Amino acid sequence: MSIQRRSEGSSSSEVSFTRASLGLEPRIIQIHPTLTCNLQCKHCYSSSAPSIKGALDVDLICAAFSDAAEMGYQVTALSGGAPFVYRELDVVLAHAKQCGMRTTVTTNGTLLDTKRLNSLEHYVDVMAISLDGPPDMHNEVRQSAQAFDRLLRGVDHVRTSGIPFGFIHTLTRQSWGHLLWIADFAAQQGASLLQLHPLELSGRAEKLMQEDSPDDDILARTYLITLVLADKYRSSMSIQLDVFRKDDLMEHPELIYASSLDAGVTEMKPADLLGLIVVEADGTVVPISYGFAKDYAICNLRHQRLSEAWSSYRQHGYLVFRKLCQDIFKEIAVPSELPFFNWHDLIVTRSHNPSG
Amino acid sequence: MSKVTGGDPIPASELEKYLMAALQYGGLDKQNLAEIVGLLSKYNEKGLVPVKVFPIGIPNPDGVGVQYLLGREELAALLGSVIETPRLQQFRVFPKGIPAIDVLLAELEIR
Repeated sequence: MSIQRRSEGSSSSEVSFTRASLGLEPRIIQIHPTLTCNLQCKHCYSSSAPSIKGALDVDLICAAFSDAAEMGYQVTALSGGAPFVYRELDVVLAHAKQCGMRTTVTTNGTLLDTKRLNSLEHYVDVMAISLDGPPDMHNEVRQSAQAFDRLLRGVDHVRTSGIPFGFIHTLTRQSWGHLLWIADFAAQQGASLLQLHPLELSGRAEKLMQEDSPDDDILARTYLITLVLADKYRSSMSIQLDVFRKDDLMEHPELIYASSLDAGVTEMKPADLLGLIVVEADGTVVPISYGFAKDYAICNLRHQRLSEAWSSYRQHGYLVFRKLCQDIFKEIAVPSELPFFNWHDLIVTRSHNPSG
Repeated sequence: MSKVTGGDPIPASELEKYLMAALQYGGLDKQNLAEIVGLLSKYNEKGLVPVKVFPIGIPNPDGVGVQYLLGREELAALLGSVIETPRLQQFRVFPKGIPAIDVLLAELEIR
């Protein structure tokens, strides 16, 4: 669900639009420096785990940030794996700030201590902490009996550090009924944002949560309850629901890159052509979302710098990507009973099977 | 204070609990849900944000009421959509402001 476009001057009581979640505003480079994680969550789209080793070299990441800033990207979003197991986290964040970018770090909240947070205080603009529901539900999804208690301690440390923070919740068939608790918890903890992101059936979720993806009926009911919550917490916390309304896409196909390309495309900045790029832990750079099929990759940072790869990508790979978006647009441009759907899940799935 | 049509008032502080119960266990069918959500999301895109959303129907809620605080021009925009809402059951407008009306409270019930 989404809804008003905050960038167009809406008030904080409105449920914010998915434009931001798609990376159209602002322009975002999302990076996964490692898939090593202290947890092994059921819904993890990157299948991160303690047993997975390896990480991107710090110089590669810093070079990617330098290139991205030149290409018009404004925000670096660090995720994982657990970003806090990446030893040079402070180095790459400091470099992002030197490039003039805003920074966000998404974390499970269990590895946050005062010393580490103090070292990051000047480099992190927003900390996004994952929350899967009330304690039992959170622990069950996290496959850890201590996950919620450790999350609580982590949140205490973040609050003490003064770093602005929000919660990101993976919306499932089971969790939407707990949204009142989730919003109340987030507000009580002092969060400034609650982001509701429908489960994507990628990675581990594809195997362990196949039946848990919210359908359009649940998305619609979630929309209604979120309207009320957005009003209730308007003075303290924004609420964002990452879904799209079909009618908006029919009117604005450019929101999902399905509009026709005009002759001016060669003059446009890379970030204006592709608002969200994702650097995966093996160095692959893909458009829009983690898990996008490698056939659509822009480059691999281990073999080529982002700035060097762009020219060729714009002439070839980008056009193939746009064709995929346009094909999906034609499919969804049919009447349906309920107005919302999960664009992220659809585009990633179809990138692996373009013929549907 | 919102109300359940023909029933007891819902405490304003517990609106979300009543709405959640209605959405989880009430009689809001898919067609009704589609119309309500379609309408509200369309308004939202126009910049109209509800100040209250509440369930209606006793004993099993089967509809939703919505309140908007509007200026004159916003009311005009809302009216255009309201008359195209087939499941609209009630539509009320309460002028607010003394001596001049500077804001209007519009309440819709859809079921």
